[in-house]
Amino acid sequence: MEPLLSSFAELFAPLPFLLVFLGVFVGIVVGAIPGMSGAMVIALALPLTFFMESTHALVLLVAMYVGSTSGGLISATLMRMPGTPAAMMTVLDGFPMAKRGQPGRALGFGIMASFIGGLISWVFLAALSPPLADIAVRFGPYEIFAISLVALMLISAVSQGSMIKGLLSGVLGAVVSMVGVDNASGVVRMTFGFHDLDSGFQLLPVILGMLVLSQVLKDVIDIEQPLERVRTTTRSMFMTLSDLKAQAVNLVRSSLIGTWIGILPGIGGTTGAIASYTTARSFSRHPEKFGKGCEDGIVAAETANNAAVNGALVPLITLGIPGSVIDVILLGALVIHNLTPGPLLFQNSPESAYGIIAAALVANVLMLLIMLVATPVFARLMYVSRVWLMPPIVVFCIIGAFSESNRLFDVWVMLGFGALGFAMIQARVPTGPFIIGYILAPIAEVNLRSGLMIYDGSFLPLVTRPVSLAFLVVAFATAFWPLMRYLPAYFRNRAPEADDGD
Amino acid sequence: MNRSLFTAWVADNAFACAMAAVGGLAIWSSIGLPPPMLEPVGPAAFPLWAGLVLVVLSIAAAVQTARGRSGSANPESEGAPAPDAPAARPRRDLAAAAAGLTVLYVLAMEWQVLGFRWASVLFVFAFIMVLAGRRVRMLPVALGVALVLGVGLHWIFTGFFYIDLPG
Repeated sequence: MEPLLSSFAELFAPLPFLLVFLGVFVGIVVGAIPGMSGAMVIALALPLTFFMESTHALVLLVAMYVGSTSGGLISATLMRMPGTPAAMMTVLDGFPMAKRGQPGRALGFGIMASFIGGLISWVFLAALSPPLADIAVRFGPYEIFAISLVALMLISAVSQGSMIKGLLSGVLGAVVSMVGVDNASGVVRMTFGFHDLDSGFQLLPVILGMLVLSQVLKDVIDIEQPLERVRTTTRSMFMTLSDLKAQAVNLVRSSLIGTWIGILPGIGGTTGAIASYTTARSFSRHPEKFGKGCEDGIVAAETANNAAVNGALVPLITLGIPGSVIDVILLGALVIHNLTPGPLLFQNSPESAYGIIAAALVANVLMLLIMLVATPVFARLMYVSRVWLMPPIVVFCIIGAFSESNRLFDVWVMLGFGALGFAMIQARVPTGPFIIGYILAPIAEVNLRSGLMIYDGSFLPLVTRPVSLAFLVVAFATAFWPLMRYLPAYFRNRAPEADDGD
Repeated sequence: MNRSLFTAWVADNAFACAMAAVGGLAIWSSIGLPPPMLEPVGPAAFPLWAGLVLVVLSIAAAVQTARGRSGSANPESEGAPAPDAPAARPRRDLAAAAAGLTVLYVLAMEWQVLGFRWASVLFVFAFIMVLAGRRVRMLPVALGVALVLGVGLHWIFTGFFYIDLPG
């Protein structure tokens, strides 16, 4: 408790507090602008943090994470465009409610739900992370390997659209991560004699290309997409006590769902929002109202996506396993600032670990205040022409890619991954699993091979050690569950055809 | 099959073929790697298996496309319009121009024709003019923004953040 309190005290010093404020503010603005996302702004901000003290850098990025997740609500409600993927379920009820003349009420419900979701999940983050890190310190390489495997399976299993495409994206990320020197043997792999690739692809150019540059190209294609407008007022933007009472069960349930899905490594707020929305509709006495401007729908989606932010920070700071795409960037930030992601973070750099936890709460409170006061202003910013946004983003990408190693080669790498990401978007292949596969595959490989070295080449401890066995079972269940669900349906459908043939 | 469906079909299959080729390349490059020494897995196993899985998944994706069951949602496409939003003409020409300008921008710095500062000024100016449809009244504003961004960012990053920039 004491380290957390001292982190709060440090956070209220002028500079860290200003950074959190700035992070939340910029995050909300970016989250509110369709076509820009939290992942984009955090990736672009990463080079700016090179010169900062590590804790300051992390609190800024965490604040951006919280702000951008919440900001997506504004464009989802007023424009029918989710500013961030996590706000996609908010569109279903937020926009119809705004359209029928209650934009303030729709936004107010969303803002309060975001705040409460963040608050409840923060309790889990603060309560679970230190003891989990204590347990995780005792994990061996086989346990970490098994957890990485679960994360790899989960990202693919929950990929929206096609599971095969999600898997394809994740495995492609894994293949790309293997380029360069193999740390265990010193052998150079898949460089094809190109020595600039000996150290592999740097994280920042890959992220900037895949997530930012590809999105810029897509946004340029959609530049003439007309935007719907709903006038915003701050009237009725506050949830009353009776509203809160009516939504209490929904708020708690959605917070728990969002937190739990966030904690599951590899999946983030979007899945949390979908699961929570679906559950709220199933439990509702009037499910027919969902999708037509139902307050319960907005509350369920917004509570869960914000709860998932703090939930996803749990595996990141305790195990070094990213809970979502943005967590991959935070993982990169930890590495860039010479911090060891995972359980050792609490031992070696407690000020950073607790700083992240404290920043998550302060950012959540600031998010509430800023959104309640300034949402009408953000609503106008949403309509800023893309003409003015795209060129600076590309310039920032170039700076970010170059500054990690001072090589123009990395800029070319970024352009290459931008083209790849764009091709993936065109082929409707999600880019999120690629990034997570790119990060998790080396973790899985290094830990499996370290385990084999420790246990004289024996795979047996993988199934004799209870933690690794449990995670392996989860990994296989996740991988084969869709197949198990699909096969009976397939054979059921085949049976009538066979009868017809007879 | 209408034009947009056909374009999607081509994109899906082209991507699946490219991914199968990448998988094949991973398999081919891992065959020549030395055998395991310190543990039974060795440096070749992961690229080999990942390559194989990539090839299998690419074939599965192509089969899925052929059967018309390809996924349509893309969780990363932030800002995608809602299904009943009015459609707009996709500006692939602008995207191609943006990509071309970006390559020229990096080439100018790579060949040391221009440093970051002036390459950025020219790039931002040209990019804004392309996106704005080359409207003459945008010229002074575009030039102002380009100058502020190019010169300003160079000053901030090199003078304030002490981060080196190309050129």
